[in-house]
Amino acid sequence: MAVLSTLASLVTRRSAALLAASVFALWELRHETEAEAGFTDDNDNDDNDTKVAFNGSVIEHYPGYRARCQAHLDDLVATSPHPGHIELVPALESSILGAAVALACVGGEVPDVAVDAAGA
Amino acid sequence: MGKGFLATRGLLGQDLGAVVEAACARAGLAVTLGALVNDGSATLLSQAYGHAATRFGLILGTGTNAAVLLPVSALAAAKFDGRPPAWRAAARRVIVNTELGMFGQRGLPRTRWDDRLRARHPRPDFQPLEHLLAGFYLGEVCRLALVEAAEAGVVFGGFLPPSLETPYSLDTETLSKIAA
Repeated sequence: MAVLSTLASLVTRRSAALLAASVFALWELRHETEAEAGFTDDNDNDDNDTKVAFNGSVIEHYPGYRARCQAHLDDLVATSPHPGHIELVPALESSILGAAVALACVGGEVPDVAVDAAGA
Repeated sequence: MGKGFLATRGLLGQDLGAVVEAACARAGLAVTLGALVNDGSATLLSQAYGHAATRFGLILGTGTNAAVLLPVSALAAAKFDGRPPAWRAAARRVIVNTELGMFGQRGLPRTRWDDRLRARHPRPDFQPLEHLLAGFYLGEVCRLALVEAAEAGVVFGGFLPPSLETPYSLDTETLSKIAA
């Protein structure tokens, strides 16, 4: 029915806009804190692209949600003095793969991690 | 904690890695826990592994969260008190679990249906942003507006369908089917 369809559209549009605002705020925070730290080695690419890996039923499957969020991000980045682009990219099997990557990062240091965990 | 689980009982202040290892040991499982990551961090790591420009992990399903890679200097030194000196000497950046859903105490515009949702919520101020944008709550905000509209005689001929009487009975999956 039309009323429900309109309500659904309004709440999801608000959600996408707030989520984009949140990501954008964190992106600006990254720029500011990287500059404060004096780091100049962050970019692994020449285009100042920042990728946001995403996961979750709403952002993946709700009709039009991802596109709307991306559009808000594009608009916000255009207002920013910081260079670059924010791109939402889907991360599949992220829970399992992410845990595996984390373990690989600490791979040779597990005994130290275990001691630290017990003593923390 | 935000989804109504009671899993934190007896665990606050403890190291989760040690808790998990102890539980495995009691069950006779020889397990060493090398890493423990949440969904936002796992999403960031899984994508960063293959795509160098990845700096964020973003979750939006039932709940919402974000993980971000920030310089260590962006955080108060006390945040790293539990870490070994070797880590603190070598670390330049760190993955931060933002708990994004907990932001938004002030400054975000709310409708009266948001206020009604919070009035009935067991922890109304715990995750303000989550209540405004996460999947668990999108349907409920719509339902609260429909309840008011039915009471005002604007929809359903003034009678609220029984299926909409229960809080959280309208879920986001239903909204997505309407939107398709």
